Amino acid sequence: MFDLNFKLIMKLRKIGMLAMALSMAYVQQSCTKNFDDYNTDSSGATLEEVSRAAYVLSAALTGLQAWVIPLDVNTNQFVECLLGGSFGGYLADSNNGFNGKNFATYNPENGWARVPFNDVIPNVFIRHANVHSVSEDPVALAVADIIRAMAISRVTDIYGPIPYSKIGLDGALAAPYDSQEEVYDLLFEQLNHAIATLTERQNQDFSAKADMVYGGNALQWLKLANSLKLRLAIRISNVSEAKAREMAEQVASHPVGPIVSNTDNAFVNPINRNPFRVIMYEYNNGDSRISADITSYMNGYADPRRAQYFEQSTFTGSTSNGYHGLRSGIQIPSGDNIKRYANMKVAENDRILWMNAAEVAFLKAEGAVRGWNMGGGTAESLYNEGIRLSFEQWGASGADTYLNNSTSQPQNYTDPLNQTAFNYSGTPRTITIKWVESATTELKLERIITQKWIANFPLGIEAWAEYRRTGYPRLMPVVTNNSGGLVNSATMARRLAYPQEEYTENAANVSQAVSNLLKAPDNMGTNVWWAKQ
Amino acid sequence: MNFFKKEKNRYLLSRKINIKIFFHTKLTLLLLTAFLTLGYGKSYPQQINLKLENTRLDQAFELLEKQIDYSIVYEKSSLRQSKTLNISIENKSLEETLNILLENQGLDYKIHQKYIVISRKANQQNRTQAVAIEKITVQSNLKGTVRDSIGRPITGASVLNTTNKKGTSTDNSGEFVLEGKTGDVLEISSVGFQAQRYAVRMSSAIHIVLYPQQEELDAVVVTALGIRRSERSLSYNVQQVSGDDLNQVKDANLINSLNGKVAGVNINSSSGGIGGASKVVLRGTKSIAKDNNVLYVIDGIPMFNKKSAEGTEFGSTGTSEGIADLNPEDVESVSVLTGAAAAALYGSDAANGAIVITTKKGAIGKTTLSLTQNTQYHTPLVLPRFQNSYGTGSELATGVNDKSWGTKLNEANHMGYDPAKDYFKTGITMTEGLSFSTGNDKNQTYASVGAVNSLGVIPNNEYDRYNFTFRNSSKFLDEKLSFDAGVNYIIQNDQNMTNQGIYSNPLTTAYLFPRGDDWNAIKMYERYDVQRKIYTQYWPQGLNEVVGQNPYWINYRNLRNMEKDRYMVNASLDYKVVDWLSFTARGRLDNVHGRFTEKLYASTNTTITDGSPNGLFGIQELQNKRIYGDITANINKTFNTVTLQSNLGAILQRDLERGFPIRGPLLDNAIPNKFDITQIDDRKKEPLIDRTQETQSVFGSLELGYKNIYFLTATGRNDWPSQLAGAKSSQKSFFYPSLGASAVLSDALTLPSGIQYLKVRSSYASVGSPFPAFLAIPTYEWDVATQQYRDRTHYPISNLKPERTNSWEAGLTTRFLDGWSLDLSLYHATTLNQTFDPQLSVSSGYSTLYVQTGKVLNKGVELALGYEKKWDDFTWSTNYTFSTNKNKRLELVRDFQHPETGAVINKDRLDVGGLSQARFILKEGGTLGDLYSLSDLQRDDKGKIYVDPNGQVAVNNNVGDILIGSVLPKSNMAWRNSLNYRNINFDFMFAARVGGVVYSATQAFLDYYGVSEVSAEARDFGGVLINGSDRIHAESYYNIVGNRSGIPQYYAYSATNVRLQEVVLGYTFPKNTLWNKADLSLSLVGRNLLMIYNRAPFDPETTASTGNYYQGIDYFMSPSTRNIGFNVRLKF
Repeated sequence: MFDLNFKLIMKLRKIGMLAMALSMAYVQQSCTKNFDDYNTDSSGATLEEVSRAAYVLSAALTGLQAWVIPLDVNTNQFVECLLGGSFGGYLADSNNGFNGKNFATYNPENGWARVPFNDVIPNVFIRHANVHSVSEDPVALAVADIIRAMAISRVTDIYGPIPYSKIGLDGALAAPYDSQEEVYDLLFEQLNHAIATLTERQNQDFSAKADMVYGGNALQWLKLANSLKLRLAIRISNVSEAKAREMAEQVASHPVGPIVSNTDNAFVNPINRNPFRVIMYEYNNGDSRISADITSYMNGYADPRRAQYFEQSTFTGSTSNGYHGLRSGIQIPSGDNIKRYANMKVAENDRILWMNAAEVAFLKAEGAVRGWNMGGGTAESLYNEGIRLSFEQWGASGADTYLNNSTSQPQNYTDPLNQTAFNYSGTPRTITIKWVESATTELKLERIITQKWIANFPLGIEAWAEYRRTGYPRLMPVVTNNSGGLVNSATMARRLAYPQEEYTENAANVSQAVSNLLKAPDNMGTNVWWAKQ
Repeated sequence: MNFFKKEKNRYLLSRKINIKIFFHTKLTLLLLTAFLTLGYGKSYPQQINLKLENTRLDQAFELLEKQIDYSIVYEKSSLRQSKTLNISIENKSLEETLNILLENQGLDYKIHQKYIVISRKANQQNRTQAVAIEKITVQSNLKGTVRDSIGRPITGASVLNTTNKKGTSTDNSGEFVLEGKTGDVLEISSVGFQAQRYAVRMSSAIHIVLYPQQEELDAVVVTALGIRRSERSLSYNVQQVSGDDLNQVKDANLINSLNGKVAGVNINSSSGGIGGASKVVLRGTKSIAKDNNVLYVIDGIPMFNKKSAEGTEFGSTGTSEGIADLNPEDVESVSVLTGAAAAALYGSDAANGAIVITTKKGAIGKTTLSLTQNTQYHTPLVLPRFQNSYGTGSELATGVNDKSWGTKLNEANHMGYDPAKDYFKTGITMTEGLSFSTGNDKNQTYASVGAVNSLGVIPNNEYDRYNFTFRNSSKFLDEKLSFDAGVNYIIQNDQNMTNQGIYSNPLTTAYLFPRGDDWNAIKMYERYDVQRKIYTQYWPQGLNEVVGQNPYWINYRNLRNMEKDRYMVNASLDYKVVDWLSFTARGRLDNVHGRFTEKLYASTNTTITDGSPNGLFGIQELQNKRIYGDITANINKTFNTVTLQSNLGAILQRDLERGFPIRGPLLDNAIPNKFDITQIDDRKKEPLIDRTQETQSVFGSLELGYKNIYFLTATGRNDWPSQLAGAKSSQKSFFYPSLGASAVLSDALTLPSGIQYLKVRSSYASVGSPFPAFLAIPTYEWDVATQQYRDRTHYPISNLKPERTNSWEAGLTTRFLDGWSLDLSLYHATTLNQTFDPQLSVSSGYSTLYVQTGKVLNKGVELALGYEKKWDDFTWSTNYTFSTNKNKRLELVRDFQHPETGAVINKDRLDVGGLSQARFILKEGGTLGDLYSLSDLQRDDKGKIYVDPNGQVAVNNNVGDILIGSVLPKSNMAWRNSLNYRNINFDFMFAARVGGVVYSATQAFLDYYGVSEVSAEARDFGGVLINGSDRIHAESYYNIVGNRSGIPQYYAYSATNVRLQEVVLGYTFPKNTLWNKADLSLSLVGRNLLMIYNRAPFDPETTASTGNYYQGIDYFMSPSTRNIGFNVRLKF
């Protein structure tokens, strides 16, 4: 009986399967032809679509340009305001919600400290690779290399050794780190290649749509490449003087040379609104304010550029208003008063600075002090040129009076609201403006760096790097140091620790990097390669 | 002879079986009750010849079966006392034969379709009484009683003689007298019972038993594609809950009412408030990347359960879901198919199990109109404990005016602010329903209207829903063609659903409000700005860290509204070609149109208005549409003792999703608070949403039954999902089979007399499911920040395979020792080929990599134990459900070969999400719910907390992964009790969850801000005690421990909790008290009444998100509510 049933079952199953197979074949042939359409994300764009009108090239190049000074507001806030702004002496955090987790008091949470590494590196690499995959125009490729060099130099300056030369090699999912020296060598090599390419093709402009900086002007990119090369050369001058000099003198002797006029300054267009505007005005009525460091210097010098840089404070009651900056590295008080300190003068459509002619002049001045051939000009003339260029850039008058001022010194900081804990009671800063040829080299350096610092506002990452290299300008130590003794308040934070993700996803390589390249504990107290020991 | 036959008739037929629900096999009930709808008076024309010599009754049945087209079904135990037979039957009808066979055996029979059901007779007493009644009966009057299945008289049941159109209703003892004669057909109906047709064979002693609606549900289960099957034949676990059980204590989202009523279901209700989307997981989380939520099926067709993304960390938007749109009153029953085998035919989505909802149709032979009203009041169930003895300020810093670390308040300046009293309101939900049902043999109609209006415990939170349902079922062409069509129309609106997060969440500032400040001052949340000529926000407290705003401003001036119009149209046509073959075609259209608007008024915190001082406006038009069609051939044939049931078919399912989102800050030169798209800055435009997804499938199933005892089931389905189209996909379709077997051992073997029914079952299923859409055809993605298309940052993809869950289960169903029932299932499921994108080291040049690997194992036990007993007028029934699931990840990314480079990838740690320093980290051998902490206090080498010379503790973020525990429960259980005495019923249910942890960032914030009770106690005691002896200054301690959402292990709590889940106290007014016109029942109901055990500062069963990796995390979650109210039900 059961046998019979079983046979029956099998027979029926066979019939069933046959029917299924037949209908399957029918269904598949006839009706799945729209599936490719259905499975194509209409909110994205296909390769064919982005190829139209060279969109893919312009998107890749402009996209890459969005990651030097990050144009994404949140990334910008972490990198430029909270990190660079605080450590560069330009800005101070003004949101008391940041207490206990901000860079400024040396105990950033991983969510903050990872941003320059985890957000910047892949975005730069993918867009750089995009440019290579969609264009064979040597000019566009050279420009992409320059942008990448600029972005990556900022990352290595923050962390020291980073993965760079071996990123994405053979599709590897994790790459070893390069020492910072290797990174710099590679950056010079890439810049040299780009400079050579652009020198040959100075007039081969590319699509203006693909360039938010120079509108496709190849010559201007060449000048920027030279300027960046000079910046990087000066950066390594303490640790690799020969290489630094070679690179700097190549720039000075280059037929086109670096940026010498404000018309060639590198600014990037904001995509929506200037991120500084959003962060300083819109987020909680401003998450950052102007730092007391820069206002102390500029107030002491009665610097005419203040009116272009800053909005005055808006205290109420008996407190008089002016360019009152906020002390950085403090336990941030709650309430409205914190928002009344001086703010950055920035409008929604203002372009965002990458590098200016004044900085180039100061870099040359430093080279001249070192006795390098900077292609003409003395340290003094270059120094004065830097100040003049900066005044011109900002449309400020009175540069000559300013640079002849030999008496004014930075003010000591007194909190305008009499919060005595925020007053500065350390060694008074004494550096004056007017060039003194007879001064010591060190004093000359302090003078150059101080003025370069003022002229570079608000390039915080650059200012912090130069502070670590030279110790100038003399910034006020933090009031609250939460580093647990890892960071010496006198010398400030020296780098950022690697993100926790590297220890989980790239553990072997990051450990190698710490023990063999950084050769010191992975924390904020450890110096990077080029920093002043 | 004539007299003899009459006697027999009386004896065997005029008496309906009296069965207690649990005493009898569900099958019997199935057949009996289904039988009621078909009428009685069929003739059975076979001529039967039997020669029985010393033959046992079961042998006699076997011989009989060979001569008839029917299967004879009985419980073995019921035949135990039967006598052997020595009879010869010649040319008798089936009816006559059965009467002869069953004479004096104490047995009764029923014929339904292809079955003859043999069952034990009701008690002897009734029979003698019946005999007595008969003797005094006048033939021209019909006389009888109507009782329920446990023998209680049914008062006011209507009895209609369809032959002479006379009618009456039963009296208090359930008795009736009606004009009529033998051969007439009666129609008997009563509220809450199945109507019945009864062919009169005896003019007196007509004993009619009416069965409650739910008994049918117990016995017939709705399985895949709406096919109704006898529970006996199922090889997998199906648990059924009746619509009445769901409606007893209502919830706007009917799924929440299921909690505790079935084993193996883990329901986490939404923190989003009334009508919010619940997370429902059956048999544990299986998938690393998918949401693991159950599939909902309505009348055999998978439902579109679309919900929008919920807020987690920042945006606090709560959301409703498709299933919450249903009117619970329309639900006839809910079957829960916990395993993948149960669901093999519903397609991929059912790998997580399915909840199958059957909606009401018009009933045959009665017209009812019922009105219900339900009102419930809501109050927060579990809130954190607050302090109000210390005022605003800080002992450690000056200029702090948003914390409550200030001086101790005295009588003069004590503010006494308490969020529970001062901020939360009593919420209210009013539900009204009207339903109408009518029908005859050929045509049945059901129509209903429902309305839900509710106000949440958070001010200005509203949820409203209006349902309109119409359904008609009819038969044509000699009942060969049946047509069933229905329409549902739903209007659903909600306002300010808030789940958790810090932006736009009023709870952050309501909880953290500085305790030295005056709450009354901020109650007037806006002040007139003379210059701007608008009202602007008043909020001097700041609280920047949480983007602080006045809670009332958030309630009344940060408005989020969802307006939804939904209609569902369905139709099915069934044509019976021959007796054993029919074709069915079904179609359903489900169309949702929604409009979500967001209005943030001028002077809202500029962080959330994208910087605009004039406000922000967002509007999103949404459309979701599902088109479903299937066609099946159904074969149902009996060969001797073998029954065969088979379905073959094809399905097409297409989902469309469209959305038109516009959102932006009001321009600088816009009119403040003028909410129109002309006024917004749309430079951050987002792409249109236009997605289509389609799956085409063919399937087949086959069930073979032998003697109605042994069953074998096989199913197979092949899917072509559109997600698999594209170059990067290695397969265009996948096949998945299931195989199952069951046997009713109590019929196959002789079991100890204590066991009345025993069925064992086992099944295996392998369910495939496609990877997410769009992966197989890479595109450039739109980047809102840079407003351009950019290449994706994940590593390039190739060769994707569908995911697969392989599972088996085994179980048994038994009824024993008069009154006990037990349902037990064991299962084991492995999920493979999971597609997910772990984070990569950026040194690869990419952010993430799609891998297809991972192996997750879930195994567990589901158990339901029931008991029912009756003492005269008092009945007690109790049910206990228990389920435990062990989730284990066997493999993460092991030896995954990179398709392009050939590199072998291994990963043994995967950070998949979490909040701040509390992370869900997947590790081999761990569970999918493992929560880790990445921080600890600085400790010395002996493990003691390090205290620095200033008496402060410090945080250490370099401690590796510290396991806090799994957020998944070890087990869930519930205990239901139902007590009935005459017209009073009292039901209560306890529910418990054992095991697991939760983490409360809320508590950390409260401690950090000094508003928690703990922080006040620490101050009262002069500091926080650590290392057993050191006292640390309380503020300094909580500045470290409570900051940045807290050091997680200090804010982790056991998730074990026990609660009084439901209580119902009801009274049904006898019909005669209402002039025999209507039934009225009143009940007091309560849900979530009392937390008996709970160590967490929130309800651990509430969830903010239906995603996987935000479970167990409380970040200013809206509290769950205690609901108390009453029901009124009036039925005509």
